[in-house]
Amino acid sequence: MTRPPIIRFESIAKSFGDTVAVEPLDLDIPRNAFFALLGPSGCGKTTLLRMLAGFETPSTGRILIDGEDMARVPPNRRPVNMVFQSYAVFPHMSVAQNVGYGLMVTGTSKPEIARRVEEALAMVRLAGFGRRRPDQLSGGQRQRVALARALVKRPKLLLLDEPLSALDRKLREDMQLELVRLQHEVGITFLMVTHDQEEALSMATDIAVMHEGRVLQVAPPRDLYEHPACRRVADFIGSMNLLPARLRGMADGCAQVEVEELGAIALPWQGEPPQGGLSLGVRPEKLQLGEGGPGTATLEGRIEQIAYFGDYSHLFVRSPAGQRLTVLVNNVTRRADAGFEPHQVCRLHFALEDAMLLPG
Amino acid sequence: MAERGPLDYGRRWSLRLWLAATLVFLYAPIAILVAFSFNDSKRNIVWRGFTTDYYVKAWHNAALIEAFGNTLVIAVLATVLSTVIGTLLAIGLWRFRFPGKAAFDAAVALPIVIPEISFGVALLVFFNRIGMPTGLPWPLNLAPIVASHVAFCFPFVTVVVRARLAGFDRSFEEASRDLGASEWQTLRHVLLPWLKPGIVAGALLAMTLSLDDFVITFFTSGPDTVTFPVKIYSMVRFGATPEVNAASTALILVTVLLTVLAMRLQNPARKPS
Repeated sequence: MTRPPIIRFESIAKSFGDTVAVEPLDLDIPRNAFFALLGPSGCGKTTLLRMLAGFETPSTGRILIDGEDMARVPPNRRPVNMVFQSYAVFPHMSVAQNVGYGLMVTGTSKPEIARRVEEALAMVRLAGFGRRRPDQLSGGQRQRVALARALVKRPKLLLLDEPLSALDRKLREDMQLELVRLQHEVGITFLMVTHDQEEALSMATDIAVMHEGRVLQVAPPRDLYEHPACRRVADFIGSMNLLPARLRGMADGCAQVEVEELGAIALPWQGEPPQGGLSLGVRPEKLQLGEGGPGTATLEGRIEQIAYFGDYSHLFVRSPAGQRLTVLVNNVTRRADAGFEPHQVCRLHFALEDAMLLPG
Repeated sequence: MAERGPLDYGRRWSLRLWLAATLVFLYAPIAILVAFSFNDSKRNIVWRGFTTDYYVKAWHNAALIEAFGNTLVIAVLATVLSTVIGTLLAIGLWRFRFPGKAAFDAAVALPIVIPEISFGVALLVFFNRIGMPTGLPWPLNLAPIVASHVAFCFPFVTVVVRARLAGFDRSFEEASRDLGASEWQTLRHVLLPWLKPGIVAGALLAMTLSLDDFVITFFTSGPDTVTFPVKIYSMVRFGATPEVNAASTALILVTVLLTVLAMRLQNPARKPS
């Protein structure tokens, strides 16, 4: 018998008055995943997290945690713990009291609390900080306290609400690695809510992309980036050059499309022929300058602008049909982007296998 | 001339003079009151020499001491009751939504704004109307005064505690629940510690209001339930002797001690735990 997923949302929906926060959706979160709910603010990801923790009641549907219906379970009896965006470290308690709080209120013995608090503090690399007060800690340290406080309860699922948003850039990078290490170490499923796609791609094992209360796609980071399900996902994850395409017909698992800049090309397509609008998508780093060989498509354009970022540069190219394309040039040598100037006409190519057809 | 920062204004003689005048205006009457409590003169108009006789006299004035005891008992009871009621009301108004809440919210502030004299008369009429029994043994005969004091003190506690609640981050409450605490445990371990400075400040305010209340007490006290301010008032009618000054100084001392105590409670020296 296979074990059920750690979390199952069954046609869960939530509205606040007339505002729909989450459209009816089904979603499974696999065991031991580092799962990210990714989307812009107001997409319903935080509402989903709060429903799991028990702070919001779903309007319809069921939430199962480890196969158990959570409908009548109050927040304090759910096998999940949360790291709040503001950390919510209690200001009137020491670090040790904060970490031990969840054990104290459930009647764990004092020596047991002391032992587990020490263990948890060591895990988040705050050993010896037990007597400090929260106002003596940096933002990063307060977050570690919040993490230890949640992990010491040994939950089946750890919820992280925008865990890195309040940290500065350098600390954020350290904490990303730290969270991934912790997840491996404790072997608990982590569910993270974030609006930062880089954060989701670099940390998560699986990502659900949300938009306006719907889940658009659930996939591992690589699949999400290389095989987005629709135009919106492609646009939200990384950047994407989109060229309008018209469907001409289907043949041998391929869709024949016509693109103004390229003429007729065939790209693999599985399932039903796409309905509605279609776009051809190519990622900026997959566009190369110059003429391509067999298996590639070539188009012409005029350079409009060059943006220099240090390790790479972006060339903004306008196609004859008026589409703006972004080309990423890696500055592998100091002069890699030399020789390009605005108004210059150039040729671009990409391997057909790196392009994709996107509905929507 | 050199640039002046905001803190340098204290160096201007004109502003220093203004500050001195303000301090004199505020504290000179109290200083004179205290000084003349040591005046060796019955009429207490001109200084005739130092004595502590009137403190001894006040101490042996049985009626005055009884009034002082009444005032302390009333103040303690009224403070405890209005702090509990006021805090619960503040939390209730912050936590829940119910029909008529806006009207109720506005009504809470009424005892603060209603003129004391009207409130006093209203209470007098009220206690007569319900036939409040008189002549009960001490301390039960103080009940109407305690009830009156609670009625005008608890809104002050509510106002102070609500101000503190406004700064409470709801995620503290959620974090506590998330970590396994019941609503009661959350109230006890998270909300009340957060509110403590507000509750202490509210209680102190209630106590001070109750200790020196004259107008409302005057209307609700009987011949056998005289309080300290009422007693002093009746003593002044027969002439302001240094004994009145001595008694008043004692009351000031009690108030100051209470304030110091409350400040100590609010900011305990941090002990390593």
